Amino acid sequence: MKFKTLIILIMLLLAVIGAHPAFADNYVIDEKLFKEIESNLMCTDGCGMYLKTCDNQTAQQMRVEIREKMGEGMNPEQIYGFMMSIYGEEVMAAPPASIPFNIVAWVTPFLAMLGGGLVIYVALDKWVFIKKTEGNELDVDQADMAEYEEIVDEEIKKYF
Amino acid sequence: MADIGYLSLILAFAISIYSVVAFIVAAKTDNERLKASAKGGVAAVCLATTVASSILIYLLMTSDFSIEYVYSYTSKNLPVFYKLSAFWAGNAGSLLLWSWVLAIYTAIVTFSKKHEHDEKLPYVSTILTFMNIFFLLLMVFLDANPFEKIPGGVMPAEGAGLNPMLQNPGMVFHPVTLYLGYVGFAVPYAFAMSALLLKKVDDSWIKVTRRWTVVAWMFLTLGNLYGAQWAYVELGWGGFWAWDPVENASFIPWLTGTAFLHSVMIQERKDMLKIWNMTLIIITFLTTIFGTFLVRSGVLQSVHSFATNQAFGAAFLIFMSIAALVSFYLLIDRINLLKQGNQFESYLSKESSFLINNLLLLGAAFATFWGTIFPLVSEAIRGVKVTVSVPFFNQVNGPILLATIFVMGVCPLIAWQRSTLKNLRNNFLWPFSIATVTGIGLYFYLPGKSLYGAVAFGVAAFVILTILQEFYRGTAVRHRMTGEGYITALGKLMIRSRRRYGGYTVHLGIVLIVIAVIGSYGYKTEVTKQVGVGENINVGNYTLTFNGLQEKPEGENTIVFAEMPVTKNGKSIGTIIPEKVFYATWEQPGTEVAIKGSLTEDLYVLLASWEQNGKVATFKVNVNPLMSWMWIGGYIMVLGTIFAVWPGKGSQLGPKYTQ
Repeated sequence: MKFKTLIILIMLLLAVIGAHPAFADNYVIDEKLFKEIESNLMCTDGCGMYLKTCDNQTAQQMRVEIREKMGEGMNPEQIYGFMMSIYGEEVMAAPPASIPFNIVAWVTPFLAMLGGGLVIYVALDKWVFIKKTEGNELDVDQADMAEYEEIVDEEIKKYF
Repeated sequence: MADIGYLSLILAFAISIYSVVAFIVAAKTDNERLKASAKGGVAAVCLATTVASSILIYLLMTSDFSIEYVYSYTSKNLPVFYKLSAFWAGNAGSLLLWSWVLAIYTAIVTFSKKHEHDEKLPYVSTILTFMNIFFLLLMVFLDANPFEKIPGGVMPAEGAGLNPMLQNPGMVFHPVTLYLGYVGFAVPYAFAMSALLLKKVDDSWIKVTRRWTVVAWMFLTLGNLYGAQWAYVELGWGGFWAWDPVENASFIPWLTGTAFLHSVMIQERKDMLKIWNMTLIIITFLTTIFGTFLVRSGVLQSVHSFATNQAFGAAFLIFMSIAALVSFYLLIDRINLLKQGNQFESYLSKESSFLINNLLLLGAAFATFWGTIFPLVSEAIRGVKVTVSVPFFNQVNGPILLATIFVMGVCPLIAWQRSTLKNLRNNFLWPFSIATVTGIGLYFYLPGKSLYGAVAFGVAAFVILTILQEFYRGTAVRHRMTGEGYITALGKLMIRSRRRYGGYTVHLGIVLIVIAVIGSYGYKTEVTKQVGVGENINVGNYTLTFNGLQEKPEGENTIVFAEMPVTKNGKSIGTIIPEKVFYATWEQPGTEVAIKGSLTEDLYVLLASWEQNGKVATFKVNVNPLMSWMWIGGYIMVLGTIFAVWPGKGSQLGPKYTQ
């Protein structure tokens, strides 16, 4: 009984020690998650480079910080929040959609395309003079073949 | 010598002003002698900028460090190849290159026999020369004189040297081809504006500038491709495109230029989209200037920026604003003249598919532009700086560009004028079925089970199949009608319809690039590992052995390198040698990436750092699948373009459909 209690106590002690940040390096970091976090951040020394592609000292330091925070059990959102609290919103490689104004960045291109699509729809509706394609239709093969055959006919006239 | 160079620039500036005034007066008074004199002015500007450029090259080659520009960008030990590339390494030299290319283009257009009797010519020459006045003005008056002497008149014994990152063959080809593309778009723009000025807005301006447009587009393609190649082999991060603001600035005119190339076909065939085509060429021209503005204004942070002052930014902004205002004023003022000709016969036709193609290309261009300027928008409205980089562009542009590629596959299956769903279905059946099976198969076969990757590969397969089907159908018709063998029939078919098959070849090149992008982005393996002497690095099927670092001199530079034996699946495939170069004239060491490439993948190795006197070193090793296809695809695009624009029979447009 005493032996079992001792084992449990040792295991608990190890768990507490292991959870301390000072021992974080001993943790196996999820490299895939690390790369994902890294690929959403910028290097902050003014080089203008994406963290994933930057190898300068600031970038190395940032990687150490990310690993530390991962070791502390932070999830990606918490790590981004931590980074933004130190370096500002600029540290994110894309405008974080958690800030309402930044949603404008994400949706505007698609809204513009939607607008463009509507313009095309309205224009086609105005321009197309045969509304029904069934019945009185031109076969696509015939249309394309006509073009090939025109070229060939021209050559036949010339060379044969 | 430098004084002659500077004098040449002043002369070019003065003669340009004379030429513009003389062209305008000659056009108003119908004075042929004055027109001839103005044309002479164009030749003189071309000569003066050629003299200035030749002198700058001479000064660079002879290491005349009494000239600030030569001192700043070269050193005595710099190879001749890079001394030449230093011409455009700085702001002043790059402006001179721009001005020189523009002067040459203006002279070619002005003295072309083809345009001899074109009434638009004086206006075209005026517009092009007016543009050159702006660039010459920057050099002569605005602190961008490439012949500026070192203050105090003392010649330093050695120059500051060229940034090691610029010491790559890419530095010779990338800026030059990009400039040839940027400046090339000024020619169709000038013809379009001349057509508006003269109120002669038929499609003649499109016909006479088609080759200029296609060639400018080809150079822009090459420029971007060389830039990607340079980034890949020199910057050492394993990628080729970082969505940097300046990269974006060269991609935007490429997208709008591509839209223009397709859209003009509808005007040629149907006499439609006149306003749209004018708008597209104006946007394309303005975005080429936007690129130069970004590099020189410092408004956005970019690894490509020149060290310049605010005056440059203001000057470019004013120039862009004037060009935009004048262009759109002319367009709106003449809008009644741009009446449409025919109508569309059907919703389902090549014409309408081109509209979708334009929507997607313009959508991608707008998304790129919007992402590039959004940091400024955010700062202006919220007072908060944000960054818009790779994740944004990949997520926003990725689907748009993939849809564009899909439409590229659909277009050949749709006939001009009118198609039907039934026939479209018949044409789609095989390419779509095989592509779907390919996509599903790759989803299960490739690592990571990426749905996006599988869909993208499926789309690429679909486009390749539709292109091959087009080649096959044309060849089969010819074979059936003439009895020629298939190979002869294919060859003759392509030669007799170069524009069409050149276009398909360009499409094929684009798909190969897309395949490389999907492979290298979605299926890359990356490992960063610290190893001691005798230890291995395992990446994918490769094993690299670190046998220690060595050192060797190369000229005045010192190279530290690791000669690493490599095995693939247990079999030796030779050695790979990543290097760090320590330059005599540059504080920061340069990185020479070692690449062992094949058609299936690149083994990409970088020596990141070392400790304990080289006994322990850190390497970054990537396996980048399918990268070679990016360069192969790029060259196929260029070959297709040359094939399509090569003069002579077969390069004309197909039959014009009218009501």
